[in-house]
Amino acid sequence: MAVERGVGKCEQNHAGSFGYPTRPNEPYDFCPQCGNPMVWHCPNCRSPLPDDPGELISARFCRNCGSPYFPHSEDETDR
Amino acid sequence: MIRIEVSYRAILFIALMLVSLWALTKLWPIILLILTAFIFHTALLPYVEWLVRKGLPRTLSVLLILLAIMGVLAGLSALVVPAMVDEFTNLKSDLPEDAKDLENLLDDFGIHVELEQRARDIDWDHLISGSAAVDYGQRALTILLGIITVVVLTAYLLVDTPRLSRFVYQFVPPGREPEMEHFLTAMNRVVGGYIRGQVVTSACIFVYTLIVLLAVGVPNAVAFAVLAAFVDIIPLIGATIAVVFPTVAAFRESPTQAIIVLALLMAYQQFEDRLLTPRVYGQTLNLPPLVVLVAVLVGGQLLGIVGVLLAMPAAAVARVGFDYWMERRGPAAPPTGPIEELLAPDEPAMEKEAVRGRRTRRRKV
Repeated sequence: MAVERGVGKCEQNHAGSFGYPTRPNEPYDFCPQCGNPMVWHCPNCRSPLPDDPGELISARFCRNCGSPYFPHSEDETDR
Repeated sequence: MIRIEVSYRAILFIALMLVSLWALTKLWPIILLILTAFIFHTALLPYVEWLVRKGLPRTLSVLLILLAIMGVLAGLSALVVPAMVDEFTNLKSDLPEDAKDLENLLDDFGIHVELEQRARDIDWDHLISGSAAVDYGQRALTILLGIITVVVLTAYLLVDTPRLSRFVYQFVPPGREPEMEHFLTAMNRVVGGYIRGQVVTSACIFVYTLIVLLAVGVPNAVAFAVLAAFVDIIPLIGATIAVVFPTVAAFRESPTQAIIVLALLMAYQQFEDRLLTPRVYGQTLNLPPLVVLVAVLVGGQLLGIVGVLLAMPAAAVARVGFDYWMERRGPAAPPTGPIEELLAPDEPAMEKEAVRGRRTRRRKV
């Protein structure tokens, strides 16, 4: 069975990953650099975050359903 | 007066580069063995992973695969080497007569070359025995040691692949692992696919050439089939060599046989180029012919026959690297120059003004 792998980021745009060699096997809850919560998939549709490094850093909304990854992003659109 | 200032760091960098280049030239034979081992590692890794997924221990899987390959090679050698020795003996006795035939043929075309006398002048005793034998023995020993080193290195690499993977990934920043994974997968696909495809095409040409030459009754059929399998690896000229030598040998028997051999072998070349190779390799290599030609010339100039053999996988790896670099560059940036450059020269100035106005408004928003 293939090992589950994925990438994610925190609100401060610190990227992280799990399941790759030298990385944790499971997704972790908080960013090791700033302590903010990590996001590994869309909170609405559970789609994974984009695995392209450039897209991962710039993405604020889910490519699949358009929901924001972080609550603050929603506030920004309301303004 | 021009004053040039060089920092200590620059001097250190240049010195380090020079030492690296010197080390590279000194260690080149070892680097070549390691590169070859990496190529075989890439080609064999999918089979090892398959056995590991079936539940076999990794070391046992590697041993099984290497033993299977060596068994096949030993079997082929047992089949081919005695036949080649016999054929070499025939060649030695028949050479003056064959040279005379060729000389007569060339005479008909107005080319006068003393081939028969040259064939009689060859000192076979000197070539086969004495100091020459010692020289051949040394060369054979060097090649044998090289093969053993490559086999051992390949075995270590296959057994240690997970550790090797961890070593590589520790240099990858968080979040960039998928990118590295795509890159490594592309490399594996290209290099491994090339080697596996080459084994298939060489096996096919060996069987076909053997059947054709045996059916037509050309002497030294096994030797020519082995030759065809080996030269099939050489890009561009390999196909010609695989056709020319058996055709010349068939011509010694009769012109009709030569025509049949030529037609059948050329038909196979067409089949290989148009049907077999695209199906076996697919989009694995997908290199333009000019790139192949340049790669072969550069490889041949740098490393001789080894360079010619490594030219295709090296060019394919370079292509993967180039594609990776292009992808990382991303799409070209939109032009930021004056608006006039975006419009055709004959476009009315009013329209240019309108475009400029639209741009300004968009910026304000």
